[in-house]
Amino acid sequence: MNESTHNIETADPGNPAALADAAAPGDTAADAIADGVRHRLDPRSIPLQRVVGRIVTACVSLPLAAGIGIAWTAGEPPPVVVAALVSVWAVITGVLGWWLHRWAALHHRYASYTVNAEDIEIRSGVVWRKAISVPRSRVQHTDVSQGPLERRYGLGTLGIYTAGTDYAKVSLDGLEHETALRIRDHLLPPAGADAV
Amino acid sequence: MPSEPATSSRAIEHRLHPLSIGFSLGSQLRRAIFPLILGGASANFLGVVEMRSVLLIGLIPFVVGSVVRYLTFRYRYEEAELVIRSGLLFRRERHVPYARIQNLDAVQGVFHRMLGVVEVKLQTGGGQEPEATLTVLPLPALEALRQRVREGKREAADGTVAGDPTAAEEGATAIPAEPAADPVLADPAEGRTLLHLPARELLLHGLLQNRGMVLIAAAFGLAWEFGLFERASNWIAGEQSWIGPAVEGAAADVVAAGILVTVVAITALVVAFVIFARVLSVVWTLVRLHDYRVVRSEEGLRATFGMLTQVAATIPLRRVQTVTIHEGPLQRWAGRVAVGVQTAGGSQAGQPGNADPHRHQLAPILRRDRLREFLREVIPELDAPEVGWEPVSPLAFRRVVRGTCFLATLASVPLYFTLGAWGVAFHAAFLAWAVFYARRYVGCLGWALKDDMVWFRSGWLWRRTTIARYTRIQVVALRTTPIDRWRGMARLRVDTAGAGAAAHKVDIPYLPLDTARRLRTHLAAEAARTAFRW
Repeated sequence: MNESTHNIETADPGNPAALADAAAPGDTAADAIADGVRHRLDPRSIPLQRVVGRIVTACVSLPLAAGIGIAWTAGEPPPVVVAALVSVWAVITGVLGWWLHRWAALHHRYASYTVNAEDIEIRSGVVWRKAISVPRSRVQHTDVSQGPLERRYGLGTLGIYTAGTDYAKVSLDGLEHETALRIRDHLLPPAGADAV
Repeated sequence: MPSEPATSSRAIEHRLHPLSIGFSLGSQLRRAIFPLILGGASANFLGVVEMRSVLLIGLIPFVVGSVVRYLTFRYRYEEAELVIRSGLLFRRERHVPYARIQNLDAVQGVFHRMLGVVEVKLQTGGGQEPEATLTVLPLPALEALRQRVREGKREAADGTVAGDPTAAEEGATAIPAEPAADPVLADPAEGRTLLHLPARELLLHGLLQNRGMVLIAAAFGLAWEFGLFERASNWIAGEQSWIGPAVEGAAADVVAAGILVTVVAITALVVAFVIFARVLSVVWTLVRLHDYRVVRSEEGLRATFGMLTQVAATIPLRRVQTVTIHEGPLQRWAGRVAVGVQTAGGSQAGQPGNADPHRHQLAPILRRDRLREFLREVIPELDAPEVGWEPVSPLAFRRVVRGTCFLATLASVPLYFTLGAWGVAFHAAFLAWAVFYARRYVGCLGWALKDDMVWFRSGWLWRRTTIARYTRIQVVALRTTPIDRWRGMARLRVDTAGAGAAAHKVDIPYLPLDTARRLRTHLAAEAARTAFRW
């Protein structure tokens, strides 16, 4: 518990030593997942996020390019205007692509999770940071999902559902699929404990 | 559920009252009428079809739907559950175990009473699932339903004996004043009256809260929709009208009489309008909350009220998630507060077109000196009346005052343009108010941990205090903005079930970072120690 509260959300790329590596060899015991140590997300989430970033960039950039092309052929604007439009397009595409590329690493740097015996803490956010504690006794149900891209990278997203309102669903993406399943098993309420 | 021959002989299928067609059509129309009129008006405007035919065609699906609903809706009493069947194309059969039924809310409007029927809402503890609504039943059927549910609950309770921890806890929280009463057999009308609002209190409530403005705005909107303004303006300013010239003449006389008279006349008009709004508010309150009563029964808290639309609603105590105390400037002056509760599941607050029994505060108006007593009935664990409020960060004032001063400056920019040098005076006054307000606002922010509950208070003029028990905490989140980190602060949100979008929540801003961390760890650990039940 102590290590986990140690450098909460203010942390701090300057002190990455405090964070355990997600790729560290895990114990095979079922509950060893609840080690109370702050873990980074799987490093493969960075290339995954970058692919997503490229898709987003393409979704913004291509329609813009198409629009400029149509305007060019249809309206025959003076070359200066065309040059200006093209350069604006290039700047938007470049900046967006670069920023999303960088964002993936930044996001990974500030996101972490800690599984304790009685709760799970999830930290995320680069500019607006948040640290969410979900007590195990409040977990209504959980799911692990895997999109097509995630499957390619062997990652999974853990969804934790509570009876809350703003935090009715807390999701943790960028986990190794196997780890996500193990956390899910840990969070599942013991059989027979719940009687509505 | 496989129906055994023994039970099926007992299980006679019941139908709704035939008037259900009318009532369900009415409630659907209330929701659909504005879109329909809008669609009709725009179609009319475009010259496609006449508005009347759009309305008529638009009504057909509602009529068909209501008739089909009535014809297909059946309910029957099984051994341990109520079975509701409905639907023509998509058949739906719902099984509601008697033991799960938290309460039966009965709503009776004017028409309901004239025709001797009642709308019944079945509430179960099943999260956000919409409960079953029986629109409408004849009165004897409601009594039969109550009787069956009570019997079913008793049988279920006998079946599980005392092994159920739920029953044990419920027994512990039950008031000792009625030891003989069997919880499930007790008549819902019986119990101890916690709050009764006589006409005097309702009058005061109507005066204090500004319902009149809301009503006027609603009336204005309606009038706009139906084009009453055009007709009114024709009537007032039309060729043969005498009203328009008379008003114009009076206004001209007043203006001619000098600035003093003009100011007095305008003030009188404003005052008259405010008085009108308040009178409206009082009348509305007297009708709507007529004979407001909260009774503590074995089932929980039961609120009954209404002159035209009579509402009887039950809130089981275990479903109460947070309690909020509201206090406006006028209420404080009159020594009154209001208490609202947020409950989990069952009641779908804010459903349009439905007379939602829980939309009102549990105690719309309450004497301040009775607050503690009342709270203890809602939260039995509550002990201490005096709460030692902890302040937020000492740096909070500086942050807030920057924001309010910025807004004050923004607001006075147009005044510089319109008033010239006078703008400086207004700007100075605004800034003084901004500083004063910020001081008061930050001073009123406070939190406390007491009796295994987290308390949060905010607002200066309109102050709200929310109490959340540790057992009702779902998620604890700590959030920081860049400015928060720069100033060493954080915001702590304690999430609970059933908190509506507009509800006051435990969301403490400007906490010193280390305090916020400590609180988060503490509250999460406290929540983890206990189990949450719906």
